[in-house]
Amino acid sequence: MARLSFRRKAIRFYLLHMLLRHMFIPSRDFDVFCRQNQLDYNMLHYIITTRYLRGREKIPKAGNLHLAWSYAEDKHKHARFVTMLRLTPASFQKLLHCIEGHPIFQTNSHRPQAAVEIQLSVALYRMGRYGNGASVEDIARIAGISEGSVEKYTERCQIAIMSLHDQYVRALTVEEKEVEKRWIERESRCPGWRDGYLMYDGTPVDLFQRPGLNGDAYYHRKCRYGINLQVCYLFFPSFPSSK
Amino acid sequence: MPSNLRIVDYSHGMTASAHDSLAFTGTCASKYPEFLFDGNEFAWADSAYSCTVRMIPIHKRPAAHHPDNAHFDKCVSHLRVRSEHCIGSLKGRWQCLRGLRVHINSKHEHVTACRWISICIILHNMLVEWEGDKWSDFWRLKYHMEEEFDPAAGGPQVLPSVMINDGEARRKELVDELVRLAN
Repeated sequence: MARLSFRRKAIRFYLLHMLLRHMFIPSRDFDVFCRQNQLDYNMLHYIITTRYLRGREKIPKAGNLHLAWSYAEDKHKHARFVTMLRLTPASFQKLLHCIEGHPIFQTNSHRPQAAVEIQLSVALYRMGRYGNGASVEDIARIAGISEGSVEKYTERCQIAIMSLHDQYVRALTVEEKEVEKRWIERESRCPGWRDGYLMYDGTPVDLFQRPGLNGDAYYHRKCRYGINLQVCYLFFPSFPSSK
Repeated sequence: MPSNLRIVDYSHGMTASAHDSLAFTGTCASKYPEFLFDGNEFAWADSAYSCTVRMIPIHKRPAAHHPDNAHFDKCVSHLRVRSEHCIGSLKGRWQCLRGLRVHINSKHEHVTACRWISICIILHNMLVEWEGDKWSDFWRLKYHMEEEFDPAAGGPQVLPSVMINDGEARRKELVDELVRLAN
């Protein structure tokens, strides 16, 4: 059964309460009945329109994501930065520079967005984890932000990085192909093979649980649920940094 | 041995119950082969794929017992081991691919899940370019884990097997070439 929100539960209980009252203590007087109806209507309206039904308690937050910045300062601690955010501090700065200008990080609201480096580090931290460690609650606790922010930050960074897609996933130019082919020829010692400069492979990307929609279709031969990914690689890392 | 392999083309979105050869029909190489391949160019694949001129898989069981074919398969596998390295470093660095934490209850959420995969591939390519193979190896070991071609315009000479689009014949040619060199 689907989980009910607190608001839905409150409405259900109130309707049940109304029903039982009408059954066991029916009002004899029409005036009383009207007043009672008006009261019920107001009550339901109040439940539906109140934004924070349960009040807003303060949630203590103490993130430790800022440790990454202190790791980045010391060259000997760079490995710690890498295990935290999955890339080196230099690449982090480059990536930051690439996505900083994206319009998704602009807002017209009077409340500014969090700094882009914080949003990016939350997204990278989340992408480098799986299982419990990747749950929104855990990331929120570690970053010292709310659960909703974790979702928002990740989504914004993903949209910004998506805009770089064509720049980094592209077909090869003729010169680049030539370098690849020369490598194949040398490695295989078979000149006829030099045209096979690509290779394809498929791998399932596992999901953490069975999907609710068409769950069985995701089941694969390694007895888990996942999405099929087909990848085409180059053999030889010959790409010059053209950008 | 460098393992920082760059990804040129990918396809996702098929559910994992789809066979590799079916999922391959969604890739650029299958839909728009002329975009990636020129002349006699082709790609290597494992035995799960079907054999075409642009896609040369290793042999399946009965044919694989032939000594020439076995030698061919061994040499191809020697090259193709790098693909496992690439997936190792992709999944080692971006561990969300080991258990993607996206609820799929609608078509829209399936697309969201696919976006996670795309992001990982973009970042993988980006970091291969910026950081080199040292870090890719680190992640892999840590978790074990175009030119329009016009034949009339004096381009490379196209083999007859490619012309008539016969994958089996193309593979046979490559086997023969290797055998000829070995002798």
